[in-house]
Amino acid sequence: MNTKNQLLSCEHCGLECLAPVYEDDHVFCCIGCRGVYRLLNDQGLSKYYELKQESVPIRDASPVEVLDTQFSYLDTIEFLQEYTITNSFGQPTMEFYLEGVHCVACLWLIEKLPQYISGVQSATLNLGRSIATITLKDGGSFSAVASTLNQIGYRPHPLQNESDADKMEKKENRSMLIKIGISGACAGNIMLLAVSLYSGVEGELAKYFQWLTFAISLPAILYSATPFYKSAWGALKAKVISIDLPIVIAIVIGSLSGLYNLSIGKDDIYFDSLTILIFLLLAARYLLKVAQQKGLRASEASHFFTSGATLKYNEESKEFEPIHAKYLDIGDIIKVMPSEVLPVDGLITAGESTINNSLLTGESDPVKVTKHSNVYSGTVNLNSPIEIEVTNIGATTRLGKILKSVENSFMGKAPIATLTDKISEYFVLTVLAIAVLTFIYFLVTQDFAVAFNRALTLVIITCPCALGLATPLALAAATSKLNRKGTIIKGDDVIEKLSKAENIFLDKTGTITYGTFQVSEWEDITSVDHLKPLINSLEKRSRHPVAKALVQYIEENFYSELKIFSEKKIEIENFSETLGSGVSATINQQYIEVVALKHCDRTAQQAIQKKLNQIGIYINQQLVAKISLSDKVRRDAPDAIKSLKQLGIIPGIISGDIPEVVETVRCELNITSDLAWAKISPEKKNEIVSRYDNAIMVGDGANDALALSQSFVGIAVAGSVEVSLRAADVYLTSPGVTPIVNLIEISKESMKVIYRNLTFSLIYNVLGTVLAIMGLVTPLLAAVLMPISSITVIASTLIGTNRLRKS
Amino acid sequence: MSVLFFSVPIALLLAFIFVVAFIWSTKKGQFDDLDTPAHKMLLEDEEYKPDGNNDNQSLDINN
Repeated sequence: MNTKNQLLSCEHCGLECLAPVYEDDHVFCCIGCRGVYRLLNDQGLSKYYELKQESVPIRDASPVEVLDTQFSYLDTIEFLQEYTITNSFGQPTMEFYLEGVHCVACLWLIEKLPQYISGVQSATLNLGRSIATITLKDGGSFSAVASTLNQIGYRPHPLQNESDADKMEKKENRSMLIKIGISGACAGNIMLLAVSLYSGVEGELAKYFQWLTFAISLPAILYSATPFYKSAWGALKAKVISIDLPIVIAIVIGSLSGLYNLSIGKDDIYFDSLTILIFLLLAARYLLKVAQQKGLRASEASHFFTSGATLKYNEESKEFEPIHAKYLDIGDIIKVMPSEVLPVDGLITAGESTINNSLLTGESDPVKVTKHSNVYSGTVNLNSPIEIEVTNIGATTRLGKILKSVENSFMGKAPIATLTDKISEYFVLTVLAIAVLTFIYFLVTQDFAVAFNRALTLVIITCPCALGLATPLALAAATSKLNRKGTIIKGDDVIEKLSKAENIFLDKTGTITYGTFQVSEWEDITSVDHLKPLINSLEKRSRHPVAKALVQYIEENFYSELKIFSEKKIEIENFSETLGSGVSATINQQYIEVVALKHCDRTAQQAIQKKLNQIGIYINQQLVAKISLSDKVRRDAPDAIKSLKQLGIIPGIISGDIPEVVETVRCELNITSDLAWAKISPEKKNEIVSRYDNAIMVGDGANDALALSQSFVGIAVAGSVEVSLRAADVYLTSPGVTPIVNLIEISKESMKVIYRNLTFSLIYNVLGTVLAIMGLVTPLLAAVLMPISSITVIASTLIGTNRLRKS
Repeated sequence: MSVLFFSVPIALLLAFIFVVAFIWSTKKGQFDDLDTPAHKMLLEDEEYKPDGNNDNQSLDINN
């Protein structure tokens, strides 16, 4: 858009201002951002903006939404018991996930909390996970902290005390780090001694050094390498040959024969190589694990909360009081405010509104609800407050049942045998077979000592470096690259599976389309001065999706007109909103209505379309403009679908929406007609996806969840409901279809690197095998060959993923 | 060269002390969050008060 060049950027969040608000010389994109600016200035915290200018944001900022959330439920005793831990001074500590944390300035601001909220003992922020840990002293309250955080634009969500699983994970991470540290220290020290041994130390000193290398290697072999022993043994018990088995064989045979040679005074000791091997393998695995956990934690934390406070009717005080949604019971009366997500299934007892069902059923149009309508948890209330009698909570809600079946099917999903698994199986068997043959051959032709030695050398020198080292490194590079792009990978095998995908099925509403109303056509019948700015100010008062669409359209396309107009004063009187029809008001003595197009103004074709998709603007009962609204295809979708086809993946649509809409989208995206399904129930979606081999399912709603969990790879897009996020293998946190294309490209590229590494390692191993059989492997050669093969695969990974890491 | 019989164990003892220090700091949770401290060091020194208790108490007096 050419107007973008002139746009100012918001002083607080840095976004371009479409309808700027001012404060002295400062510009803001919305009232929310200005509010935060004022608050920070009043508190003497304007240094925030200095820091912000100097720092590079770790993720994108977004404008501040003013939400009138109440946090008094944070201070109730039952809540405190479940959500706080008490430190040794008897002070309560609670963890909050904060939305909108994005740079060092945020860190500074949060950790300054004790200075501007009395009663806070300390506040620390984990920037990577967006989790703040707040400790209170006497007289402090968490609700005060939460509402201040909310006011300065970091919407807080309290996190429950660490579960046992979290604690286990933390402990495991620490113990893994200690193992790496110990093996690293051993490896570093052993090298000092080994170098002097290879460069020709002799006599007593050589003996002394050899025994020392043995001693130093012990902590690494006996302690640091235990994860390999455990997992190889576990796999063997399950009658599977895992990648850890050849590693364990190399370590065990290497150290035993090294010890034997040491005791009889021979030079073939391998303790230095083994220690370094253990260190490198552990480090590579740790990197992969950290890359995976980083993405997972952040995304999981942000979806732990489906809802925070809900207003519950208190019989005694005759008032609605905020309470955490989990304490609701069947029969309670609750009040759901506009743009809140319903926490339970229920029956409307008072009020009327429209509800967005799209995440639960895939319907794109909002549904009107009145008294006695059934409403379901997970849907969004759009217009006005409604009161609901709770009929189902937790697992018995419609959403809860879907969640349950997703979890069942997820547990039943068998893991695929990854490339590493398959190759390590062949690898172990081949090496063992060659070793046995070598042993027999030399036993027959020469003597036992020669046969034993050569077979042993063979087993030790053919070490599975590429499998154990380079594959996790390449996967870690790809995973963290994807994390930075906002794509989160849930498992080890996902990247490999993605590179093999043949079909991709996309949900329509919210995935291919925006999932909200968009203005598709605006036809002026008679020209009216400043019509658009007038409509803009009028529709800003409504929360209906149609109003939002109009405001968005006007701000995007008529920015300059808005800017000129913003200096003039307009007076809006008698504003009223009729549900299912539209809004009306008197502006500057003119009666303006923005309502569903009246029947007489519709063409024959428009008459059969849905009411709210055609809007008319009437001034003093005179039609001045006609507007068509629809759920539009995302701007990047056609190109992205084309790229997917170029990557050799066949796209298809599976939607719960009506056939006409699906057909339009299908034509726009150029998808073959036998690969588009409309009006499909959640169970049926799953069935279609499972008919195809290696099919990716992409979706956002609860109606996609089952298909996501049972497909080859399930991808949940930005804005997905919690159940879909749990069901999927990949989460996208940035909107649009393009991230999927990137995801698949990166997967293919990393698999290429992995294959190349395997080739390198094969060459080394063949070379090593030949040398070992011929009896040419001296301790020096082994010491050179083993690290060189490791270094080659590491270098190859680094070069191969260079592009991934930089761009 | 016989000095090596003496100096190498001392070097290893030194390494051992550092390993112990590493284990201690890991168990204390110093390596749990690897992102935030990297950013924190960019904030100016005057903001840094090693002891949270002192920080707040001095503020109480101001209040």
